[in-house]
Amino acid sequence: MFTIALIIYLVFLTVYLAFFWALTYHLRNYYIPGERLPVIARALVLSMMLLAAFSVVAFMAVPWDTIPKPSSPSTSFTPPTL
Amino acid sequence: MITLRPQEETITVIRRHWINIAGPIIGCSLLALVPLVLPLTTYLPQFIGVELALPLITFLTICFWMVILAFFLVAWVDYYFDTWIITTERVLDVNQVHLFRREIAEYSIGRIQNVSVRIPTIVATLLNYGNVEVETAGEKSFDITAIPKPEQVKELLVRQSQVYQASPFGHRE
Repeated sequence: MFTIALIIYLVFLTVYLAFFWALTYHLRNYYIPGERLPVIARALVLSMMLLAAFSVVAFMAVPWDTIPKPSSPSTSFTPPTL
Repeated sequence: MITLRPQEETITVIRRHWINIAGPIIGCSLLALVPLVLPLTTYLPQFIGVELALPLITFLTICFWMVILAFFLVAWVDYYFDTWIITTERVLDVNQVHLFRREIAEYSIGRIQNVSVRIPTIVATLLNYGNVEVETAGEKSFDITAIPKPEQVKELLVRQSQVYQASPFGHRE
């Protein structure tokens, strides 16, 4: 279960980091000369970084291997008695 | 980055009115409250146990907030980088279509012929925002949409156009 969760989480984190990279790219390349970076931009960058770090910690805190596997329908099926 | 010509100066940078970003701010804030309002910590431990439920809820809540933040980021980039830059020589129309698409058009300020203001709704009247429609000679006309204080922008464009046409640069056109 841990391996599956890790793969899904890494895909999610990669997409999220692509968004983060896009924000920093825009701020670096498309700023208007002489204009100050707005507070909301700093807050966005900081909160994105913090949430990514918290998510890594939260992911490691989950005991993935204790999650019960869903039972397959074929094993739990009991044929009707005639 | 936008580069100016030699001797060109930025007069003002115009962004859309804050009402354009208010919707995403309110929507994302309400969505962010959903995991806190839902009684997950009450019901989920009954099915999978407290030891597993609490860290799982924490992790999924953080992931949910990350998704909301990414949505807000897209809305904010669209709002903040969608600008009109009025310089002493040009009007630059920077259109941030979405996160990875950007279009920049420029219009010579000396070619501005007619500037009009349109206040579309009652909300726009109350919050003092509207559209400025600019017609130019020989170039495509353009609109500056949903900006605060459109009357002042109109005055600025007309005045700057007259200043430019009276200058030696304007006579050359």
